[in-house]
Amino acid sequence: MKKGLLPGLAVLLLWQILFMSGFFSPLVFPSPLAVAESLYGDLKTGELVLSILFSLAIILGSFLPSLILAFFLAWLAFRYRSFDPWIEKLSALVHPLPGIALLPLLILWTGLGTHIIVLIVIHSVLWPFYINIRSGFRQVPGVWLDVADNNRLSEGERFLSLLVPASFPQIFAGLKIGWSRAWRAVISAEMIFGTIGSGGGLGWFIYNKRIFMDTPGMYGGVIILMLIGLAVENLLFRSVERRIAYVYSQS
Amino acid sequence: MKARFVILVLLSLFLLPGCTGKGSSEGKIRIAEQYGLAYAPLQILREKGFLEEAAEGIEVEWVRLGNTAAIREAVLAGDLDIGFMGIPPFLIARDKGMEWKIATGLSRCPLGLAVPSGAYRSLSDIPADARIALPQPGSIQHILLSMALDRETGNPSHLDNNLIAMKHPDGMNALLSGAVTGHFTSPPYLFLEEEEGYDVLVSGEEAMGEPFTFIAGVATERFHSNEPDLYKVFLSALEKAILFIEENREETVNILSGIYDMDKKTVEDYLYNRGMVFEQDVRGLENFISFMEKTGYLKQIGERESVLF
Repeated sequence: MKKGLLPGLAVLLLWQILFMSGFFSPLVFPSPLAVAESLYGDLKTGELVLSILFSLAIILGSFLPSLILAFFLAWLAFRYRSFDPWIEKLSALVHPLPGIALLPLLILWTGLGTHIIVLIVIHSVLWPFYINIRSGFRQVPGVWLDVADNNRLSEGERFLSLLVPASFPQIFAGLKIGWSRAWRAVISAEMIFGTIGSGGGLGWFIYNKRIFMDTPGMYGGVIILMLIGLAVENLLFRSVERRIAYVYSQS
Repeated sequence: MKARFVILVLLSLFLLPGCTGKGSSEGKIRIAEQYGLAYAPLQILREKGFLEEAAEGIEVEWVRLGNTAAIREAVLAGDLDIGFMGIPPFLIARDKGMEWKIATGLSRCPLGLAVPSGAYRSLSDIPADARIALPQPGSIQHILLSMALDRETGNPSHLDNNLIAMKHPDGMNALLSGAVTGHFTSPPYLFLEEEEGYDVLVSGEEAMGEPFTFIAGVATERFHSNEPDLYKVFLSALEKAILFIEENREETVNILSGIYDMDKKTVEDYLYNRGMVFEQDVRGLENFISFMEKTGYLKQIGERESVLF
């Protein structure tokens, strides 16, 4: 962390110098101080915190059903091989669709509401989850499966104590991809769809700043996005990854 | 490694603003419009070539953008000289220090909140769980609704938690499918919704209390001072286009029905019988300014002279 401090300061300094050169209008390129001030102001009113919590809540609320569904699909394809090509085709068809392209259809089918954003995020994380879990299951050595059969493990035992632990690195990779996909999807969906009074997530926060031409606020929103991405990467994924590397080096 | 990457990203973010078009070149005018009946004089101006006729060798560049925010950003990037939009979004930008002013009015237009027929008698009847679609916060539709609410309930943000930002066509679909119970919109969507049997609960003029300019033409101060002749040519060409709409009904309808892909009868009806007025006067400016100051949308806007050429 300390290593990153000095270059960070250098960037801030360069930013301030660029700003003071007067080359850009402050409406295009605000000073770092103005951005910090606007961030502080939005923190104090609670607007920013609420936006962040809103977005994170949507992501969490979409992760759980997506994970369950992805596990189910992968298990189905693994246990009953005849399903596999069908689920594969479905995933190949639907996976490349951007969630935003589904937005009008989703509104037509399910009406308006926050659930639209949840559905879009589910769509964007379900398929990377599924693809990774499936490839994890497929890489479980046949011998282990035979051992499981010989020990007469039940379907549930086999799933929980063999398939899932054995494919954990792939599942974890899926989670990582899913997280960045979810983050992108939630921000772009929120930018298109927001309630004026009660607000929405961080995407709506940035969109609103744009509508009201609050350029420092827009920069602030983007910086917060970067920081959250960085924090999750460093605090959550990095430490889990280290643990996985340790556990798997022992086996 | 990570730190270096972050720096790279930040740097590229900061250097991007450098990639902007440099000021307008001489003899060239770049105009932004949006889509809709209220922009009819601009379509005529363009199709009839009034600008090219008035100033020989002039280069005219037309840009159609989806919303006012995009126009503002293009102006900031130095890519536009004149843009057409509602007065409130212009004021918000002016308040933030954008160097542009209103050059001309373009149209007056019936706006209104369409609701299912007989559903509500007044704004205060609208229940707490209702949903109302309108283009975006700070749009002329949002400001007008706030004005009406202020008058009726004393609280301009009374319905803010019920408002959903949607583009006009999406809002109309949402209303027709019952996903929202109200849509504050402008023609042709308002007319189409009325034809589908929806009532106008509050009209724009009732909200405002007086006639007001719906779409105004805004010019950058740089264009105004660098190209004073072109500026005048543009205004007189626009006047000519407005006069043309008045005097040549048939040709106007022919041109516009092609552009909007609507049948001629409908275009004629919408354009001439439903209260659309094309004029260069700017109306309702003081009212917008004082209301938007009162409700905190504007902080340092100043007098009428500072927003009008």
